[in-house]
Amino acid sequence: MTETSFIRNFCIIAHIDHGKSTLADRLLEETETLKAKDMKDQVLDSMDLERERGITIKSHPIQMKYVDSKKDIYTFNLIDTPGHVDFTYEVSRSLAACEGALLLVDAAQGVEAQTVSNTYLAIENDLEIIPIINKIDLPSARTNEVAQQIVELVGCSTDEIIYASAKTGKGIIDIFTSIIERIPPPQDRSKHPLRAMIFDSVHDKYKGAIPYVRIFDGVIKSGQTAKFFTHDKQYDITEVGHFILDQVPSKELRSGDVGYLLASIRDVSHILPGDTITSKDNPSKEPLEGFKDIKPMVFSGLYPTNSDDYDQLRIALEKLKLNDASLLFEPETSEALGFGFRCGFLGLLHMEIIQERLEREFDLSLVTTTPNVRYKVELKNETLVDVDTPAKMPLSGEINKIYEPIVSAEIITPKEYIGNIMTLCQKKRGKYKTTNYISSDKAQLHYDLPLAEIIFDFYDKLKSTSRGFASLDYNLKDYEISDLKKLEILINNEPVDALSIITHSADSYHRGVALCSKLKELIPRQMFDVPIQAALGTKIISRSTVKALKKNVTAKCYGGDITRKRKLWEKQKEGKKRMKSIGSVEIPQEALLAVLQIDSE
Amino acid sequence: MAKTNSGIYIHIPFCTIKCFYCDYSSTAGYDEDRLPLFFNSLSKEIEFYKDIAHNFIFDTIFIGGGTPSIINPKYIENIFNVLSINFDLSHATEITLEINPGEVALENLKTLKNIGVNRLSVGVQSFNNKILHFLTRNHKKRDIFRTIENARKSGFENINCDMIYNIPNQNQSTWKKDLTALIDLDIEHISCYSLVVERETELYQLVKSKDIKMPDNDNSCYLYKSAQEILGKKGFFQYEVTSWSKRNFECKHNYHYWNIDPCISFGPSAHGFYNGKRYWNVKNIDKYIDFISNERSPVESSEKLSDKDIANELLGFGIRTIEGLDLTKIPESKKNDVYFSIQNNLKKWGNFLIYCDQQLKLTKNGFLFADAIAVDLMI
Repeated sequence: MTETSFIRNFCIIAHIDHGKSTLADRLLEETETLKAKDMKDQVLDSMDLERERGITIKSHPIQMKYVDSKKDIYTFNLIDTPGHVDFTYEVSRSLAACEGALLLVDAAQGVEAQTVSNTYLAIENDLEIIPIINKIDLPSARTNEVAQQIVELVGCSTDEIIYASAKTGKGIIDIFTSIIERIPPPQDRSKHPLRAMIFDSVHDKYKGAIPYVRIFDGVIKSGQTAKFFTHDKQYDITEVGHFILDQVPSKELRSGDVGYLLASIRDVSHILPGDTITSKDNPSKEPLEGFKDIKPMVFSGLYPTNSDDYDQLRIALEKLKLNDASLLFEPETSEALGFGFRCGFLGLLHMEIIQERLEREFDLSLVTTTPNVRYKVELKNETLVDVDTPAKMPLSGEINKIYEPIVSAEIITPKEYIGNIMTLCQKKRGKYKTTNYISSDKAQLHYDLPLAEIIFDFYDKLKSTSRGFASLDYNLKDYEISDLKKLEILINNEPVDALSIITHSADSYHRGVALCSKLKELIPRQMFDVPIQAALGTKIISRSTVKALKKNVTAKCYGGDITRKRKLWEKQKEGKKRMKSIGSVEIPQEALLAVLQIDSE
Repeated sequence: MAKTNSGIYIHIPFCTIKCFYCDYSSTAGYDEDRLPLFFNSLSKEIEFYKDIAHNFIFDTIFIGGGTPSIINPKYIENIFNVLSINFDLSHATEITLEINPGEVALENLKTLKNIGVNRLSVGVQSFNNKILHFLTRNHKKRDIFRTIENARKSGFENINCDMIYNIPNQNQSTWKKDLTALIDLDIEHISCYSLVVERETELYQLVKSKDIKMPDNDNSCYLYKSAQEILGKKGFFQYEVTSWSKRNFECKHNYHYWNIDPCISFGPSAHGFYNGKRYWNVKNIDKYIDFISNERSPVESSEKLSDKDIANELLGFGIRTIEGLDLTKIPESKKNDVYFSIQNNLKKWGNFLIYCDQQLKLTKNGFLFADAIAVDLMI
């Protein structure tokens, strides 16, 4: 057991690619938590997908022992935070489990939007912030300028900044010293009734759902009965422990500790990030602050390409949900696509990750529909309904008002792109709020934007209009009344529910025209002419035709090279498996996402 | 194991010039002094196979290329001698050699006939001098007539002409004129091939750089249908997607390919198939010679076909012939999958696909969609 005064709980705040995982690796190596030879690069990112994309999706706490120059032994709990805009709430819970944060900024890239918003989250949670400029050995490093940005952001002096290179190890000792001297130890409140905050969880096939907890008050040990504040289920605790690299059981977890507990919890939805656990025998009256019931923001239909795989898809979604409580899904039927699921995600990245994991880890071939947001629709009879799929949008005659989600967005950009970005935000129906300069050449723009526009193609446009330099962060602000219309697409004279979209009135006409012409490109020629129409209500606003295919045969002399042809056929067959038959028209997956490809210029 | 009817293919990789659309392995021009070395290697390669030769009944031989007719026939004669020493050729009733118009003298044709060649395949491609020029062919219209005349004089009674359509600037009337001229030649067999843009050809580069625009799908469909109509009216029977013949003059050798029969193949880049294994030789002539002179096999690589591979090859190529695919040939382990696939596709391709008495075949109009249907049939 470590005395509370020798515990330091901290996290690392960094933008993607600013070197968080490399720094974490150096800390593990330096504390001999892991021998250099045993290390795969970037231990913390354990999922293949995380490694490939270079981002952290799930957070993994790790405990390290550090011996300082006075031979005092410290326990460091590094609580890793997910690094993307979609996971803001998860980040905030991880931050709440810490007393300090290492703010890691790339010496060449400088401060980015996400760094700013996470730093504000850390400040809100009263964390001690240790600013570090990483990669100072890069030829393109602009260390002084980046130091100014950091001073502006956290209000520190330049002396408080550590200059480091996680790659070469430069500055690592300074970081250790600062962790000990500047981050306060947790308060010892072990005499109080138990309050442990859940900041994450994993699911184990045999052990069930395993909450990761930070103990604020009291002591938790096996034999106690855990009681949760957000629901009335109780569980008997069978084991508690720390994270060294794996879970290592211990006698108890005390105030200030970070660890896990086992209690044969089968239902992952009983472990909500931010919830407080207390004990049944000596319960605390109040939960810890800050719990939010997190709601998905982006919705999309997921359908198996082969309808026989429906059950497999359901099982796969259930399995993913065990490790990801934020994933929501419910059965949905589409006239065009058959049986599938309407899924709710925290954001676009979250959606992509889930889709990719379903295909990779469960070997499913999926058809996905255009993502959309959840609208609140007030009907003429004054009832309010949530609409998270365009297909379910009530008829316009029944609608009184439609409200759409608005986010407050923060964009950080080098100043030469401000003009471009403002033009983009205007096109995307943004409302300008403020501009701040965080250094002589970097500005911070604030806009209110409809979330529907952000998930449309905003991020790609932002990146291209700023040559990749601008970064974006957003938070749901409110719902606002908006003039929205449902644009329907008819293929071969049949409305295709999976292709209909909800769009602002001002954009509806040109989006209809653009969709018709894009679909004409994306739908391969069939055995007959296929008309494609866009309709607003009963009015057809645009039409195009995919001409019939007259012939499909390679009239060539193959000689003996039969295998090459067979392989080509087989490859084309694989490609066709990803198509969906709508009526008698074969539609490729790209066509279902055509709306994301149309140029809204 | 019952012996199967099989083919022998010999690849002679030399041409006078390389046509700009051709992706077959061939070299424009050759060193006369190097020919003995090449043909020695070819003979040695044939000898490599003598031990497996008794497993097959060889009923066809096809000497292709390249342009085998530009080579002194004595080399061909020598190859036949080596073949007959190592293989039983007593069943070989169809022995074809490829020639180009204007590139073979009368006396050479006579020699070829005397040594046993009994079928000629002539690379006519077109009767239109402008189109022949566009195709970078080495011959003119008049060479075609003279060559066919000489072939007849030499005693050849089974002649095929290869034609090409779907050529940029070829309009419907030039194609119809080609077909009429062809019919007037009074030959036994006609193959009509569509110009296909293959990678690694000059044509590919020119299409990519937009210097050449290929005809569209509707146009090539029209040309194909007019071939079906015109040749059909004049007594040519279409027995395969690209092949027409007078009765009993179908090309037996090509049937070996479509039926997924064994075929032992020799020469650089040659593709062969036996004992369920496809193999292909190195393309480069020098490498080919090197390998063999070092007593090594010139096979670059080979692939054992799984039951699924065999089923898919049978499906894809079987439906290209008028008789269609004999489904009893599908490997037992894949029969259910194949029947399931057929049932699914009968719904979609009912107008074009016929399934009856263990035969699966296309209608005449179905030929137009042979590839689309093959893709859908793959298991």
